[in-house]
Amino acid sequence: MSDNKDNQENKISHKRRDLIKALAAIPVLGAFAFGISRKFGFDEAQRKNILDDLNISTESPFSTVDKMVEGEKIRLGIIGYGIRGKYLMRAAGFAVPSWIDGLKESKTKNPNDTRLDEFKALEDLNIEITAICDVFDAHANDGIAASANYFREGTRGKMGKPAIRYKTYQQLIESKTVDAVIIATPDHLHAPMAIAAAKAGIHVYVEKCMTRTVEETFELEEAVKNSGIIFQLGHQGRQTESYLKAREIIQKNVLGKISLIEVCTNRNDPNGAWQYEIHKDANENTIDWGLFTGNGPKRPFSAERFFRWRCWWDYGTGLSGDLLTHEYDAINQVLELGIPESVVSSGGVYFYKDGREVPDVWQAALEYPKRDLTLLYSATLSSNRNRGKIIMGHDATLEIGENLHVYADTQSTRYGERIAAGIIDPKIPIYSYIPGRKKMDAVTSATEAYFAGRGLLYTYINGRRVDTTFLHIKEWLNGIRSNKQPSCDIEQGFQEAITAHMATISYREGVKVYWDADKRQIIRGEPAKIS
Amino acid sequence: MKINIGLGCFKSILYTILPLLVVSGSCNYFQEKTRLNYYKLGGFTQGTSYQVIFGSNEFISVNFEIDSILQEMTQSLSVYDSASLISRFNANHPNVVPDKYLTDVVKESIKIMELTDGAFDITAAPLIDFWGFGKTGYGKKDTSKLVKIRRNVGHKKIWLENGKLYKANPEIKINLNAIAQGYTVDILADFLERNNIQNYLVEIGGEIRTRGMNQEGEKWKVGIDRPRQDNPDGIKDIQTIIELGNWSVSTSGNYRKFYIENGNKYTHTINPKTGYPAKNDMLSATIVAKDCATADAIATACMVLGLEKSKSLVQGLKDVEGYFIYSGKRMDDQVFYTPGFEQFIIE
Repeated sequence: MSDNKDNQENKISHKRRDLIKALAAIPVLGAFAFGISRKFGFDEAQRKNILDDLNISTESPFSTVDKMVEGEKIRLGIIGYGIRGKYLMRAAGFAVPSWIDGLKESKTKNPNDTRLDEFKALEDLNIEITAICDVFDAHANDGIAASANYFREGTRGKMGKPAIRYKTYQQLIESKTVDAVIIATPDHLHAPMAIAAAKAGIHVYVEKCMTRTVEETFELEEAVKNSGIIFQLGHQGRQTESYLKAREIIQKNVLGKISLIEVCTNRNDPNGAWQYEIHKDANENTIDWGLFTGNGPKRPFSAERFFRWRCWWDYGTGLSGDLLTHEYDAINQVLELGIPESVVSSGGVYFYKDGREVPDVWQAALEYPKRDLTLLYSATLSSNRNRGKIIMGHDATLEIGENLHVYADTQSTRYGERIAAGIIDPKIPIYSYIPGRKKMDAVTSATEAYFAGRGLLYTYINGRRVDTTFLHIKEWLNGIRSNKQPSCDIEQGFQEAITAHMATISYREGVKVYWDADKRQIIRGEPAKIS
Repeated sequence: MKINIGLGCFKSILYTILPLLVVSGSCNYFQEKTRLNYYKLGGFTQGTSYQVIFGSNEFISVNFEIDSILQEMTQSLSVYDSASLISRFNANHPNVVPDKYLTDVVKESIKIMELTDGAFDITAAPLIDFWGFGKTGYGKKDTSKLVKIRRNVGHKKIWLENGKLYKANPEIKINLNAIAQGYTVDILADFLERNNIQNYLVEIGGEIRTRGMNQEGEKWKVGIDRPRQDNPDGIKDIQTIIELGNWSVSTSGNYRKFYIENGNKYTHTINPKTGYPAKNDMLSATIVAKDCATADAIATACMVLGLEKSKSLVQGLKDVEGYFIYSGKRMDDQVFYTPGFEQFIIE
């Protein structure tokens, strides 16, 4: 044991220290923070309630859900009805009848299974799915079946008018049958589709990464701004309660000067590493391979490339566009960092040696000298070690995940006196926010906490779990009806896409990449010399 | 012991009293309902997170002791700590004398290994390492190597005798990860009860034991995670909520590690007895039992056994109930729970 530690232990007796630690433990009631000292007439540092001092509310940042904005029924086109497209349509209230059958059967066997009731109770977003485009027949047919399922029925249930299938996205956009489109295709098709839609005055909801190249990013930004359409990037994390609370904490300077932010991705299963299942009906006759490859390099038909497209640069944007973007968007909405001045990244294909091009272990350092801070991202697809988002300040550190915790720094100026007096223990959070925990005390689970911990799945409103994707689509539709850009608009999308592409370029070309904000240009540094 | 009645001592007394009063005052809401103050501790142990929530009508300091217990257990049971007792046993260090924790958990493991006819097996780690879960996936391994590996796997290959732990040959290694978290939960629960804490929830990595009531004066409520596999972002949602009184619960599962063969969905769970992946339809097994070590180990065994054998196993055990999520004929998720499980379900 060091002398220093001995000294500390002499200052605060074991008994009192244990007491303080236990007191700093967190009573649980949805949201909670504790205040320790009150009006006992001691010195100033002990007098104030910490919560009052920090001025953070314990209330949920969502008091009510935004009400649906009234208006005409919106005619929606779905471009890409693969795994993500299917999920987005379900979030909007449209599912294939066979999926409903499964829920019904499950409910018959288990009356406590509430999934069917929850799906049927989804708020009606006042939309109709009028058009579907997917280059794989099986996906397109499923999309059509889901589009007709207005009444959320199973097989042989009452159906409505199905969507029309269009072979190409151009035909869909020109069909005059849609007011808005959801684009859930591979990354390399996002920009051409979104640009075409914007130019036709059709509102766009597009999945991230919104473009595959820097050039496309500028083109899409211009097209959206010139068109005046309502644009939403598919970052459902924007609807996550913890991020809104984190923003409040940062704005109130609870952390002091922030110098370093660490964010990460950890996954450890083939699905998480983009080895998606290859559909049994997939072949050259059922997939229009030419339409899939688009303007990219011409290659022989490959079902593997079609379903696992994220593994190749022709179609995807790797860890940068797929997963750094989630973390970046979370931090960007909290801190409004924008595009970094420079990025350096490195990594490799270290685990999934299946012929993929994109790295499965990868990290990027994003520098913000004007903000005096660095944003570090690191990822592996072969370890499930759960790490949170950590924002480090001189006075305190904020950890954001499903829950949110603030820890005082041992050398904090602001909290130094309280730490010295033993009122604050840096090992125990000075503030914790646990959304939606009013209903349950704990969860028994064997699944990875990755998605939920990153706010990608659901959030809580008044203690009730709500699908963030549903909220994100609803926000976009409300924006269309009220002519108001939603939370993840083209400006946010532009910042994110440029940042992601800077990181990708750095990795692929082995250079440091700079952003010239005045000229709005990406500048490549010199490759490092190897002596 | 010398007592120093100086200013420092006076301040120390004030500091001791001060926070105690404030917490009592800050928990009036709970006091009105339960007359108890509730505290929560949390952190990381054994590669996962833990939380301890407890209610007490008088202040009891437990943090330091809980930290110590967790540290002791890591030094005994963790395969990630090369100096732990288990690591030294695996590395064939001479004179490894198991402590109470290692002895207890091995005893309990051997009992469950026999009870489940080897479906739960703490010697199975080399098999899991062999099959892995990478790009080559199921069916593409050089299975000729399995013969040698299987020689070192089996529930009769280790035994306790005269306070020492023995193995049949030096190649044998044990891994207690499928029971250690549950066992640790039990140890923490016992510690709380020894301190007259009658209302608590202890959780380590989703393995949970509760007693009494929560801070709202109700039975502790625990959500059972719902597995879904049909989108890349996965879905983490609650299948059902159960109310636990003085029970433990544990869930084992391979929700997203599955493969399709001839139109059937199978999980990637290795059957220690055959040495091959278990071809069964179980997606997750939630077990309620009086102690958490049993719940933890039985849940793991059920993932190997599949639905039908798990039903038989659980229904033949006293004070053990099961809630199974399995893949139906249309590859949709189905639920079966034992009749005795119904008492716990609230929604």
